[in-house]
Amino acid sequence: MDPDFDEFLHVPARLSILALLAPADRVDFGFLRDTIGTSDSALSKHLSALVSAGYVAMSKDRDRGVRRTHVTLTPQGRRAFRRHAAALERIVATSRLADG
Amino acid sequence: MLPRDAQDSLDTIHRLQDRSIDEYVDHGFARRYVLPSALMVFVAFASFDLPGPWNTFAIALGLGLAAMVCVSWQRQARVHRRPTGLEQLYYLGAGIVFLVACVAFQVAAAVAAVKLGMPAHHTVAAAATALMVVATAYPARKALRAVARHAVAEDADR
Repeated sequence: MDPDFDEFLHVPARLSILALLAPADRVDFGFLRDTIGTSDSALSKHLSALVSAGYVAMSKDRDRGVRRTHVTLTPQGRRAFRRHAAALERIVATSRLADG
Repeated sequence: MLPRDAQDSLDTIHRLQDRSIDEYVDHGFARRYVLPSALMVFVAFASFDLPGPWNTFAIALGLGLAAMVCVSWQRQARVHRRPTGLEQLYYLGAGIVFLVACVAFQVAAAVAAVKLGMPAHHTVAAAATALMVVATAYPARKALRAVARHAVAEDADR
């Protein structure tokens, strides 16, 4: 297995969260939930795991009395995501070379 | 990890990254921001035809509308993204095209006022500029989407 392959990140919901966060500075909790198609509690569970690993950070604010949660990819999370994506690309490239 | 699974994961990553970009771009070009922006442009440029102090009042109204649109856009965005080099170039280019079009409409309207006696030529130029803002919103959105997707792909390759 490629040394950069991250088993923790490869859980589909976690990988989806990081893929949605990667092009952005800050993403709304509701956008993550709606796009991934999961529940508030399931998303919160995955986000807590990612926060504990230091991959994402969360912040809360109020907009006209409505509480909003924002999620950000940390520099450590960005590096881990890039390494993992590169590992996936190497796995695919190696297989193509072997086939070719 | 099978190569096929790795390819599926990569496809999912690309699809979701595009989804974030689409949300960012679509929000920026939503009708609820494009139409007030066009109105703001119309009010600000048409104010040149008004006598004082109404022209000052119209400019203040245009700036107030601009501030409200900016605050609402920022607060309601579900995806926030800092523009990268390529996107900054896009915004600079769009700004230059807008200014050139503004000047061109004002000059054309001034010429029409002199040659044909057209009244309130600043208002006519302002209406043309506002219509241009609405008409170019769709192609501008498509262009920004392509630029932002390219910037994300470039960033991933780095």
